[in-house]
Amino acid sequence: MSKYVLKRVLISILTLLAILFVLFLMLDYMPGSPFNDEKLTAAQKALLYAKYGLDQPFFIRFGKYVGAVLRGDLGFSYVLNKNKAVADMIKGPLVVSLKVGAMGMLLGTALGLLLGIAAALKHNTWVDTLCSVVSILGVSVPSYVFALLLAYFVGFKLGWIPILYSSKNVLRSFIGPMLALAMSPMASVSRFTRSEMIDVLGSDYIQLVESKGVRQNNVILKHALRNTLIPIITIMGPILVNLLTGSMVVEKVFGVPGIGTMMVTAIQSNDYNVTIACAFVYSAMYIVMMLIIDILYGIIDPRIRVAKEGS
Amino acid sequence: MKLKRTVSVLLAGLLIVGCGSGDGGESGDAGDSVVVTIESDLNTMDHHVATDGTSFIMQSMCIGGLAALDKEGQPIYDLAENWEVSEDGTVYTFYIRDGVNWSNGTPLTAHDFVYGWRRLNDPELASEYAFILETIGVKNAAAAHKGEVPLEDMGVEAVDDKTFVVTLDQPCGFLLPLMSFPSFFPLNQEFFEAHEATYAQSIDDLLYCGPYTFTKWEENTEYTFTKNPEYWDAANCTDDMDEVVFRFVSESQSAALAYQQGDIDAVKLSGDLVDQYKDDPGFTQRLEGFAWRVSINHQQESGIFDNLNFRKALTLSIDRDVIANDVLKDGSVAAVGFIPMEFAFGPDGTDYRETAGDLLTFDVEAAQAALEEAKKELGVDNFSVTLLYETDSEAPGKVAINLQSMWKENLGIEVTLLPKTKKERLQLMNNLDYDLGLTRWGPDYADPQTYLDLYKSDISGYNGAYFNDEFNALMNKAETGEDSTDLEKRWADMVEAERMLLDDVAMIPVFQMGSAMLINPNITGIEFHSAGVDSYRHIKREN
Repeated sequence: MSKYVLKRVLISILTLLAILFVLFLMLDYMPGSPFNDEKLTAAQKALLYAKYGLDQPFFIRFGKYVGAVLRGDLGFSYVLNKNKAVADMIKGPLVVSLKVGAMGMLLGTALGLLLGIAAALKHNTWVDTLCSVVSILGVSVPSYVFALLLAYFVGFKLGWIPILYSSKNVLRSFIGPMLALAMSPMASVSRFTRSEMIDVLGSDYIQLVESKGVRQNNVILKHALRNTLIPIITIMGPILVNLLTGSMVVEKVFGVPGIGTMMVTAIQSNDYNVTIACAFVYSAMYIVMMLIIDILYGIIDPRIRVAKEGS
Repeated sequence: MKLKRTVSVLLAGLLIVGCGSGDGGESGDAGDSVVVTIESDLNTMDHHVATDGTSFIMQSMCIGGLAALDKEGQPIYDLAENWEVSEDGTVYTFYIRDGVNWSNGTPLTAHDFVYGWRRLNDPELASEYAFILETIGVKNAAAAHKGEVPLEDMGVEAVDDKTFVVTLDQPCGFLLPLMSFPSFFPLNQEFFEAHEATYAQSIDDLLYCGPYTFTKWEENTEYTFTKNPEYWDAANCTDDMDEVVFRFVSESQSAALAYQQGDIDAVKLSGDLVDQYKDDPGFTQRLEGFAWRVSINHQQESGIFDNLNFRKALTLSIDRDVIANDVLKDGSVAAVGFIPMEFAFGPDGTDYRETAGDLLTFDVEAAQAALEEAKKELGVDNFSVTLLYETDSEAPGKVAINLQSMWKENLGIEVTLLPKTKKERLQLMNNLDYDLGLTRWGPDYADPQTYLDLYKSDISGYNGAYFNDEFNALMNKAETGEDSTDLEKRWADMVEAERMLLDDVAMIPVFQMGSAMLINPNITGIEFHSAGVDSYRHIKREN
């Protein structure tokens, strides 16, 4: 097992390095400059480029950047928060985004599992139809539409949740974004749970367990659910990606000071160091999630671990 | 059963987190606090490196300059209690008010201004606003910025603790209002050097001497300013709000909903929300100093833009009223010249636009006649051009589409639209890689010079490499030559210079930007300045 984990971790680190390189290269080709003021003369621009070391060749800049990143230094912001260390800048927003994202994902997954199981058990009844409608809505309506609807109806009309994030009342402020973000994971998870569960419940070994007289609850929780979980864990990666991209817009609607909002502003203003840091954090979250999923596979289904170790 | 328990615990946890505690203290309700939304975030509190409106507004709250602006945009005394201008207009002597202290108790002195202005011009700081010292003509500012002479040789001096003297190369008619601009604010050397590494990055890394102090800095969310009892004019500010909160919300719709709910007192509306809120009692429109124009690339390869008749046809065929009143509907007005209205006032106090008159007309017949001439002169029958515009905000796109259809309908010219992000547009224009480009200019000071200077051939970029000897000579005469000491003659030269540019169709002015806001009808004292920084320094709530 440890050999398997070690290999996964090494691959993850290499992937992150490759991502950093691609990000750096893409930013180099991004049109425009961090210093867009129309009043700047060529001489002044040159002065600014020299000050921030942007006048140096690509590979030197990249080498220096990687060196600095390894020391925990993510550089300084050129535009968003002038001359402030990027590492200090992204800490707060990252924590906020992680909290909202994790809450949305947990809530969505939990609800999705419940809906999916209910639909499978009550296959071809009104419960099943209802679950299908909910999951189709969740999959097809983008999270920012939910965000706007929530802000308007639940926030403005009913006044149950704050429309805008307030640091004076962080937890209440999280309800709107959390609900908006939970929709997509809930829908995907419930669809997969339903179809997997129906398959598993119809399989020979479940029929064997049932014929042995095991109680219905135990059949579902001990035997059926465990086998249903494997494909669901597979889709956690794509769900996370959905959540990450969705969070950028949802954060904007509710005025949540998260990293999504920061990244969009940084891209628009060519704030290179902030853009790289945000994009890198997003990539790292994704890769860490994939790593966890890979490891979970091994735990849940030993066949996968054995097969991968063998190859 | 374990799984079931896990799920229940999870759900219960979420519910607790979701419903959480908290007193629900919405800040807008408090009688002594006002919440204003900002649609772009605070970039920096370092007033020597700031370049954006939001940062300037917040710096003006808690620091201050030699002068402030009154409601009409005229300079009034702030940290200076008096000033004198030498007879030839090249030496300004400012007398710093007695008893003004920084928030750490250190007295404010003339040395703080000398230190601040030198830092602004320091090539090592590379401030994007260093140019403004050169604009007002501070002696040796340009040379010092290039590193040719030491910063100490700049024309700024502290004769004693309370006397700050500025020496200029030539008179400057707009220097006094600019003293309210944050780039010219003072900086205490001792404090700065003690905090250099983290200067202006937290409320403790700043010194205050303005009507408010910065008391809570919540990044990306809220910025709270509290009334400064030590402000020199505090006795006259008793009615002002005790607390002003700037709330960053980039989504205009959410901000407007929060305004309707009473959580927010002032919010800027995006164009698409104007119709929805135009009957709200708090609906307010204002005219900004930004003038939008179509910049013409005078170096374009095909040479069609070298033809005056072709350029005339383009400008004559635009119905600017339709663009402002029917398309934009946000308080924008049709351009009647290159220089905007309600922006700059002459030596006799008259609005520049009134003196200069309306210089643009909509005349399809004249436009078609000019186009026929152009066809003959150029030997071209069909014209096709591209129009570059930015997509960062929605107004340029709406305007570009209408220009396209007006030119097609009135002149039969094929216009291809080129939507780009703002930074791409700027880069393309800077590289002269365009035909026509919809662009704007945000003025730094209330004088036509800020606009006219764009078309002097020694200023780089954005004028489409326009070159006009006669215009250059006139501008030099007004700015540094024989008319520079006579404010009335200088003003007349500016009027003449604008006419010269428009007769030659150096560019095509389109509209002057307006914006719509929702402001709680009980709130007063917000002062908008079409050039310079909007003031929230004396905001009040009437009950």
